[in-house]
Amino acid sequence: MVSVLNTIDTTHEDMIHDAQMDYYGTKLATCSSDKNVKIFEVRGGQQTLVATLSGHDGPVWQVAWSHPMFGSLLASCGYDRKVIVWKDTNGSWSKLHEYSSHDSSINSVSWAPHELGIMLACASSDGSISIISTTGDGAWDSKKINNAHTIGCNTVSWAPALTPNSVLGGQNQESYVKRIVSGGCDNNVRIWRQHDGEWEEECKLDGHSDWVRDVAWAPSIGIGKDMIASCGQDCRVLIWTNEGDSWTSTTLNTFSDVVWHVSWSMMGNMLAVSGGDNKVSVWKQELNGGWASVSDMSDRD
Amino acid sequence: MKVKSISRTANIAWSPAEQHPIYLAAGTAAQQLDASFSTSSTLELFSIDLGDQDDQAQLSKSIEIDQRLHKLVWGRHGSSGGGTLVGGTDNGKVLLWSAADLFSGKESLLHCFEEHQGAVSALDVNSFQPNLVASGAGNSDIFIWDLNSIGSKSEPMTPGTKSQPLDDVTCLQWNRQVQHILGSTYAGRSVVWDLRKSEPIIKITDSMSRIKSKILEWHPDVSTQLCLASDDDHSPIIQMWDLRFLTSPIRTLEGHNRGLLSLAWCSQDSELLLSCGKDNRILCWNPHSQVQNGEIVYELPNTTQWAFDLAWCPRNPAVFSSCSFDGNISIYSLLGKPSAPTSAPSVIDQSFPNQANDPFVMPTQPQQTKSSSVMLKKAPKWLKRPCGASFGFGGKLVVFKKQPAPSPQQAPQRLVTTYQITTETDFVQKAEILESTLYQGGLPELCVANSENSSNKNDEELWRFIGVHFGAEPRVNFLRLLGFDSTTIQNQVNKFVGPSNKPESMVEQVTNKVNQLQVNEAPGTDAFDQIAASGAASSVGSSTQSSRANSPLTFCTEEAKAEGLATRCLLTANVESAVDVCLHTEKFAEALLLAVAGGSDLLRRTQKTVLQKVATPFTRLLYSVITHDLGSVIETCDLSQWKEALALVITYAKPNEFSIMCDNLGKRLQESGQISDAALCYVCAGNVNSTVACLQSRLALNEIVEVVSVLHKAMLNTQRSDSSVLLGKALSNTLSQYCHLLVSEGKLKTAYNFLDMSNDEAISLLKERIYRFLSASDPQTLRGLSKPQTPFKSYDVKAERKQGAVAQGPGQTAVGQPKNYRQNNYTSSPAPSYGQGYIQTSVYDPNVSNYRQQTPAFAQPVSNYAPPVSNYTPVPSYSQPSSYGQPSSMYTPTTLSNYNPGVMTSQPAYNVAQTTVVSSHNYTPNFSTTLGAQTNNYHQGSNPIQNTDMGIASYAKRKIRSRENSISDNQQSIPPNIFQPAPQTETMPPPMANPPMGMSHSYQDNRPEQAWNDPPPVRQMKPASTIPAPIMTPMPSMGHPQQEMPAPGAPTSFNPTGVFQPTSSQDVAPPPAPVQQPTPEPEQKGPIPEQHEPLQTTFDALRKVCSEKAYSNQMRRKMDEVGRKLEVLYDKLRANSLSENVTHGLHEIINCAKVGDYKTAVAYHSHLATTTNFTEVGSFLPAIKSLLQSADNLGVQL
Repeated sequence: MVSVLNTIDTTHEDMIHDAQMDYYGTKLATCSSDKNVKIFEVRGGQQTLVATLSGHDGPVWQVAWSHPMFGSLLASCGYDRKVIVWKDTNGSWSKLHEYSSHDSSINSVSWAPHELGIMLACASSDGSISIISTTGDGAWDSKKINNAHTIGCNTVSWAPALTPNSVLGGQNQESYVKRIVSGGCDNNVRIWRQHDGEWEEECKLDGHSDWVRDVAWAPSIGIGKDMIASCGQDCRVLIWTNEGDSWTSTTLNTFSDVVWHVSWSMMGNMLAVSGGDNKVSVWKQELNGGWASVSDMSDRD
Repeated sequence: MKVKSISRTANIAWSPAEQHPIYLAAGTAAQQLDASFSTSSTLELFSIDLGDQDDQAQLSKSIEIDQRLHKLVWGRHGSSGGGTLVGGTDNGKVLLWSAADLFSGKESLLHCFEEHQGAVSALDVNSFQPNLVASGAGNSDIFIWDLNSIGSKSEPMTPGTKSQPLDDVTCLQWNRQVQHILGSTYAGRSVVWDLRKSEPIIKITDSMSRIKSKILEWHPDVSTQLCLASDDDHSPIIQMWDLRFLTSPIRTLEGHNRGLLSLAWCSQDSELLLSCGKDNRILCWNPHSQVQNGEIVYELPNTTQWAFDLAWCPRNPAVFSSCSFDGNISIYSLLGKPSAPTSAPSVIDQSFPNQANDPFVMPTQPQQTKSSSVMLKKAPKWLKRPCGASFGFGGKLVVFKKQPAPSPQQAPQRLVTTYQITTETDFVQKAEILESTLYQGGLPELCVANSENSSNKNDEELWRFIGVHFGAEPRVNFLRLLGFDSTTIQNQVNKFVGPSNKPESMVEQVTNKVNQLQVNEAPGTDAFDQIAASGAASSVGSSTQSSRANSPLTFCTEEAKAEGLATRCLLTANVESAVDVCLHTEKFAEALLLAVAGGSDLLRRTQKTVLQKVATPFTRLLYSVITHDLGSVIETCDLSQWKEALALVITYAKPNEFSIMCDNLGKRLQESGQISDAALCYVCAGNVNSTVACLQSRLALNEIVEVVSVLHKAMLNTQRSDSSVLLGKALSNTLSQYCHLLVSEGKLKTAYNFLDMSNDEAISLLKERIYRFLSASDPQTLRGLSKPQTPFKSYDVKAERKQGAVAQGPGQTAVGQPKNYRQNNYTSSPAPSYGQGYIQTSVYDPNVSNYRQQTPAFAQPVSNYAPPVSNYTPVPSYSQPSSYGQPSSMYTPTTLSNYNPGVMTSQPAYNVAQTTVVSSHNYTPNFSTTLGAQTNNYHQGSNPIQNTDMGIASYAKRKIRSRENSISDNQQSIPPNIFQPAPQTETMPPPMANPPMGMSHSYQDNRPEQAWNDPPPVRQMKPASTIPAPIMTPMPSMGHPQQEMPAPGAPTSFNPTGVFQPTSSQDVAPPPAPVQQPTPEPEQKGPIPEQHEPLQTTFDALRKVCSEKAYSNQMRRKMDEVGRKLEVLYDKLRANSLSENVTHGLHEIINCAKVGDYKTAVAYHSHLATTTNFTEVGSFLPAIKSLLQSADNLGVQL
């Protein structure tokens, strides 16, 4: 069942490329080809534009909210080869950090699980992935995975800090894993793991026959296994699962158009799929392991 | 970015979009020489694996062909998959190959059409009907072949009568939107055919286009538009035509220096058109751009050879190929990492090593080198995510989509819609019922209902047991549930013993009698002892009674017999000995009866002995009961009789040990695998955690939570031990999962109500999250609930040194963070800078008064900021710094962290530094001295505290840096440029020596702080007005400092128009800076000597009134002019450069004017004009005359 809660006219002057709720679901950030990021406050069905963040020189592709532990931080990335981290201090937004060490469009930005500290990964059309981090004292450190995806990396997503097996186990710092999954123009999904401070490729998931547009690692909260959704230019959504030490894929569905975006629900039990044909659908895993569409929002507006 | 190369001189065709993996077919190009002068010809297939990092494409198949090719196309026709390759040869043949057969190594040539004459250099496959291939060659011949009827000997179709005059067909292309439209070019003209009408519908001749079009490229989306280009060096342009408006091209793209050889229009983004020409350049245009002569969005770097063919990869939108005459096929990606210049030596170069004047090799053009670091200016369409849905907290789905424009004139609305997703209606409904029951009562009924509705016996029992907790006398009810209903038992006993018996009365009698025998009875013996005793006695008693009834009492006196001995003992009140005797002779009943009389000690001992001797299960039970050793029963009982054991506990356990005993029994049962039974024990114990541990595998999540919450509630009601009230880790996880599910169904309030049961970390996190959400969205629901603690430690992420607020929300004035002010104090930062909040206000508040209102607010966070406020008055000048930040927007932030009150006082030091720099660069003396003078005055005038230690330090630092580092000097010169209307984002005005890249680079080197200090000279402006003497003649040379020299700190504010012009630069961080209130010019100058002040007052007053009364624009303009001339007069007055004669005359004039006697005033004026030196008064006297005359005409009375 799907019901419309509200609709916001963002007043962006060009296409919107991303819209994300913050941790508490009380703020909405949007970004657009008009180079701006906008922040809305959502209060009881009413939305107010609270800030317009200008700092990018080109289309802004993605925005990502940090965990509130680090204050209200928003990361944005764009065609101008920049990642900007914005900070909200009592309603006043300022630029906290700007990272511009990529040679091409930065297509995706993603915060690490809060257990890992202030850390984010970004994926660029120059084929590389950067992992930038700070201890909060103002100095930022960066690590780069060069040539992660030849001719372009489109997307990056973090694994939960706790592996499904360790959820109930000890939670000391050592048990946290730093893993990311990325997708790119080489049609591959790749998993990277930090080992002795360096990022190494853990495995390559070969399944798509065209550009991988988006990947999303499922949250570990509701499911006892590692699960990744990937989608792409080949109009398919693949679900990758790992219950032991190998990944297997199942095709969630083949759509009629390019699939641009996949997003897990907080429990990892639902997946929202957005296609180039303007269609959004929500899928849910059934008891037999298959996936079924629970609602299709395309006919609703 | 070059991704692959193939060393071939060949015509190529990409595999169709459906084909995966991607292949490139290459057929040896006709009329090209190979290094080996080989005349062989091949058709090859290369696999283009973009994931492979090898830059050489992998050759996968190769076959010999008879003829070299002029053109090669690859259509998707054919049933076998892989499609069909079509090649046009030198001698009029059109060859067909099956790609699938090529791959498999079979004979692949399908057919050969031989109808053409001359070279077949035009070929195209219809994209709607891939069986239709158009070919063009000499004699204006265009044929359309149907690949479905190969070999049927049928004549090919023609699109219509041959175009006259007969010419070679140079290019053919099917329309990309309408399948029956075919475009063609001949030498010098283009013809568009409609195949349904079999005739040319449109002809663009060279007299219309004025180019000899050789190439035609249809618009990928707009069916009526096409581009034409010519290889003629005299017209190296691309024309874009719309067939509906044939009078002239709608756009002309000019950029190539020599004739064009190929065009390729990206089918996935029609704003990308590739072209290559004989000038070696490969350009990418945005043909839709309104920029005059076309906008080049990208130029491929490092191309040194003519490319004669370009083609987009149909499958991968960013990838295209170029074939060049140097024997290379290159595959590029428009995005990706800019490759280092790699100029593979041409194959032909190697064959002819001494070709000094190779006409193909042109010197690399300078802009090509530059462009190597520049990316595609415009973001390609295929990067633009059109639609997306992301989950948020609480099952919200945030969705944005492409919105259609309501009309071509209106921009579409950019909407974001939030949906609530609910999928588990049943689950939610149950949760809500449970929630309301928990909070509004009805739990016993719920338990009853659940047990009645349950599908299996286990659940039924479970719910019955849980329900007991809510009733009165739970123990009795537990017993009943275990099958030990006391009434039933009584009935059974009655039945067993017989209705006539009155056991109670008998027991009473016996007890009484026995009691009479007691010698020294200890009071308050254990109740159970009595029960046991009476139980034992009753069986004994009944026999005694019957014997008594039948015969008279006789004493047994036989000493030898035990009975006799016992009798004797009894008679002597030696109870203990009597008991011993009885025990010895195994007269247990008698022993016990006697022991009752002998006191509790004796009784206990006797019981023990009896029970030891009579080792039946029943006696063991008796013993446990009597000794209250329930623990051993629990430990040792046969688990098949757990019910009895439990009943025993329920009946006899003391309240404080009840739970533990139940738990222990449960544990044993659980260990032995009797999970359901264990659960019941735990339920009796009220142990929520253990109960659920047993149920985990059996019940669904919501059932578990139901059990948990009901049982939990029961425990709260009865206020049992705390340990069972708070949930354990495992249960908290279960609960957290349940609540997360509820949350993701949007039932946050319901979920919240379940979270009180645990204070586990995950639960607290969720609790706080829900609270925060509800307090924003629905505060009503939180009434009466306390705000949970934030369950995590918050970090304050510090800003870098260079920070600033850039955001502008409605009504938001970004005021710097007080914390930062305090933390990053002056000493920690090498270069002081202005408070960010300050800049914000001054930049964005269009008027000063507004600014003033802001100031106190800003001063608030830092108390010691307040005093310098007055010094901050030079508002307008501050607009500069933030605009300065534009080229690299990270620049603006500098301010945020570094605000410090000390800035103000140390500032003068910078001014000095600035001046030093200026002079060291030999600027016009006039400029620097004026600046210097001003600076010094400023120091003395308004800044009593001159050089703080830091001031000096940074001065020194500054000076060194400035001298050593010319880059920084250049940088400093940049700000003025920014204020010129800048059309482009990244580009600097041409005079700038520094390319934009250099600039942004140096910004990253933390240069900003340094450059940030530039503005000081600007700040002097306002204070200068308070200083008496130095005359500031308007300095035209300073109006455009950037044209002269990269002057460090060139004070833009000298050119107010420059400053206040909103720049058109695109990356202005905030909305284009609202115009500052320009500082009125007089303010910049010193006051007029006192004795002459009336002159100024009167003239100005006259002028003002005249302006107001002026009835025509002409007159107003005249008054403006008068005003300017008067300024000259005032300047002269200030400088005391007028002779007394003149000033005297002027005073006479104003005296008359003041009283309205303009006639006399004019007379004085005339006198003055005739008696003074014209050079002295010529600059202002005519203006005074106009003023007087106007005032007279208008009847002005002061």
